[in-house]
Amino acid sequence: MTTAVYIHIPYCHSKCSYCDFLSFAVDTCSVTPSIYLQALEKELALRGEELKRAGSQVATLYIGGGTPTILPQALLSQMLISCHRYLPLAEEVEWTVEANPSTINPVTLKLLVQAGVNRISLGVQDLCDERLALLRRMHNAVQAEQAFLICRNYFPVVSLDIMSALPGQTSAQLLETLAVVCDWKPQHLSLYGLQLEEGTELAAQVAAGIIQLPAEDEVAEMFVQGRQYLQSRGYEHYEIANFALKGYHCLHNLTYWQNRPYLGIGLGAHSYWQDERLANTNCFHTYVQSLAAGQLPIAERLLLSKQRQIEDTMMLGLRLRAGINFADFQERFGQDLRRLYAQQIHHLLALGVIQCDEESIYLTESGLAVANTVIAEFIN
Amino acid sequence: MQQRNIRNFSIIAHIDHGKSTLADRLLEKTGSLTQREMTEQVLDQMDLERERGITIKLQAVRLLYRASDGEDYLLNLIDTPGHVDFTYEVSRSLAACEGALLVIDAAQGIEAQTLANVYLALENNLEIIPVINKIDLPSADVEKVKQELEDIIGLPGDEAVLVSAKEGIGIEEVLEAVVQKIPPPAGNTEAPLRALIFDSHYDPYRGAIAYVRVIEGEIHEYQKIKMMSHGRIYEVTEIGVFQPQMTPTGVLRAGEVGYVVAGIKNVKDTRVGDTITSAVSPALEPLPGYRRANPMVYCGFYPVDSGDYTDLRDALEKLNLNDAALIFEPETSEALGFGFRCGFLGLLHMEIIQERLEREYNLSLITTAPNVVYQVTLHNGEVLHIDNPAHLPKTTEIASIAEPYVTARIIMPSTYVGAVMELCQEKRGDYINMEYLDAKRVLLTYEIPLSEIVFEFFDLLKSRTRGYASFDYELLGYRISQLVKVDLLINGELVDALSFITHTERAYQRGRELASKLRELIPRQMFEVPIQAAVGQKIIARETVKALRKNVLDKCYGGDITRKRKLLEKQKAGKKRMKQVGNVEIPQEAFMAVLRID
Repeated sequence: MTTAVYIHIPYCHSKCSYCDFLSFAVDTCSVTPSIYLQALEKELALRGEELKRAGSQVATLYIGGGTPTILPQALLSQMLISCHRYLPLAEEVEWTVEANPSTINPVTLKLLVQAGVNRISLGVQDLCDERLALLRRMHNAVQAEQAFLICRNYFPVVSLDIMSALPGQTSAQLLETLAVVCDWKPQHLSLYGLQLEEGTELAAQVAAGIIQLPAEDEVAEMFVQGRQYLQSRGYEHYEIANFALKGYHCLHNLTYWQNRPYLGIGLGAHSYWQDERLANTNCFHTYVQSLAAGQLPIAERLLLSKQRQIEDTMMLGLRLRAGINFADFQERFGQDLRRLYAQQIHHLLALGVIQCDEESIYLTESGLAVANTVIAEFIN
Repeated sequence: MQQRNIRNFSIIAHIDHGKSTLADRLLEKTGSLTQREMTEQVLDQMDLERERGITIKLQAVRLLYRASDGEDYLLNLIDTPGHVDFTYEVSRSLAACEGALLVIDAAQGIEAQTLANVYLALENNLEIIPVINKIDLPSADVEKVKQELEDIIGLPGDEAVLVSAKEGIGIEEVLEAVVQKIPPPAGNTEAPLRALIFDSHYDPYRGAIAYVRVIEGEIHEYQKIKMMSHGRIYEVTEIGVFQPQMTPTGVLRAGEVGYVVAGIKNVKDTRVGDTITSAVSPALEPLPGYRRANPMVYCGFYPVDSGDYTDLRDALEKLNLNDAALIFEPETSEALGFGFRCGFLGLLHMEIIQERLEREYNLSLITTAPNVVYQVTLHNGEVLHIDNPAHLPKTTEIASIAEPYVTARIIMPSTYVGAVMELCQEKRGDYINMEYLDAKRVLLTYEIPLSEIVFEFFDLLKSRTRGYASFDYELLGYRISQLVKVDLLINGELVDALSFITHTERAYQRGRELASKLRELIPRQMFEVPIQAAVGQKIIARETVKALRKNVLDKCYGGDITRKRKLLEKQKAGKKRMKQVGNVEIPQEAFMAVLRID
């Protein structure tokens, strides 16, 4: 049995205006990276023990944030060592680290590679300097390209995050950005639409009318055209927001979409473990104190009923272009998906938003854009 | 108490002219209530009445007053509903009196409802005492109101009592006028019993309680009584007067006002306007004027959640216990499922019932647009009464359609005459008369189809006259009109609950407006939704709700699946407030949209 592990590093240089992830400006945070990593190491130890007892190997390891590469090199290498020390890593582990282009330097990259990291995910987002500044990103377009070029020399797989639906962005501009980054030939691309999240600086700016977001129709255009363009450049669209050259899908993220178990380690990290959804505390001090006392810092736990597991499987699986495999579903839940959801399937087929073949159910092109509406049909 | 020391009277007034405040002062002055019992406007008992500042349900109260002549008088005050919907109830309660206080706002002067009330009072041969209220207001113009009284109603302006109910000025004078000017009741105590039911209410423990005015004879406990309209016989278990709480007295004699409890199970058996007589020695003739209160306006009530159907039925039954004018029958709509066709005295009555169902019974309802009752004559001579547009027979079978007309009286400052005439014209009104009440105010009389009044007439009148117009109407009768049914098709399916009947010349415009309104109200769905308006087979308007273009959550928050799910659940909850018609989700308010066009 294999599992996926996520490690959260909740530090950034500064907060991007649209971001509501759990992350803090590193210079002003009362819990320093050094204190945090000590606690994190304890959590790694506890969870590693558990994995070893269960005879489970870590098939994918994803270190995200925040900005993991912002850590001082000594602390970073110590954490990487801890990963090896405590986690039963599979031989062929897919090991990803997220990075901000402004934090890329050869020494850091070398540390990562030597530890066994084989994928790096670069948050490029956009190539318009003005807009990058507006969003309070720490880098500009030139830095992004340079970061990519360096990373390419160290890692077999480089993934880029690009955003659409940004303030002032048109679909033409998005396509230009995509054309440039496709020329760099990354193995993997994520194309996210900006979501306005409550409590962010950007949400306040939009509410105040200082910044305007593109209209729904324009956003929809970007979504469709961006997807089509990446496909035309040879990238396979395998999940709503994810594209990859053949053989370079992100297995770690697939674990989420397939509703398979994973362990989240670090502040506010989420796990799906033994039919329970767990959430670690969001509070730095509670996190540190719990682990100092030898306790897992879990703040919320929810045991999922079979019904809920089925619904979650539908909700997540339909995001994959391959959809949900009937045989897998049958094996996992002992039920025929087609029979269980006959009514919904009938209705949605008529609307042309889903399709069923002999093996699986999946969203059509027109279903993709309204995935939430379609998926909601499967939720009670 | 001797008949000659009894006075039965009501207070009539245009809305906001201070009727309830005056009633409260009279109660206070005669010591009918202690200060502790006084809350503002005692007689308006329902929450809704207080909120809206209107009287819906009749009230009666008995006041004891020692007049300046040193004698004690028994004054029965019967409060009347202040809205055109309840005109019949007003007329019955006036029939229980010998006199009325006509309250006029000193700043506003005579309004449309004042006139309507005066006509009712005159029909009942009542002695009218004009009361000019709010004389304390800086804008009060007592002389002008006196002049209006003389010019418009023909009452001597100098005899008006000058009052400020709010400040307690002139209350004594009002009571004196009641004693001196209103004649005592004249009925013969020895004659066979005839008592007029002017209202009733339902008490869960004692059944329907009739509010009566004994016209002749007397009624006492344990007497066997008969309702003259349907002949059923009951035994009186309790009889008494309103002080204002019900207080048993054992007997009520000719001239007196009080209540009768007789184990009557349903308010329908204590019909307003009916005559109670003795079962043993009944009167030969009932009192004049009884008629059944016929609903003027109908609409459909459907539970949003079809599982609430029985709750809705139970709630309607409960409301009906106390409100015989409310009529309801089960009906089915292809679009909305199972619900009830309900009949009301008017729009206000409808709104009150709707609000009470939602508020007191916690029901979430879809209300279809209200409509009037059409008289349809078929080629085969058969006459149908159509209270639901969806049930209108095929055009080919129809010889003619008649619709109810009302006489509308509108009083407004002369500067707005043009605007109001234009409005009445738009509403298919026929001009009847124009009268200058004084140099600045005009009374316009029009005959207008009731269905046009139902379509936002009040609101339009208000906005076009900046609220300076007052309006009242009474039913005139049925007239043949060129009417057609307009159907709405959503995604190709006819939605019966959206059909409406309108004048041929309006069909095109109204159909187009409703289609366009629906386009705004129906949210984007996963597919394009065409909306069409049709008369018969002919499509007269078309609109399209574009398909939803983007509703997708891109990012997954580091495995935070719960958060994602919550967003979807929230979205799903929003859908629950909509009604699924075919493949399309239609929000509740769309079914009322036909009211908001124009």
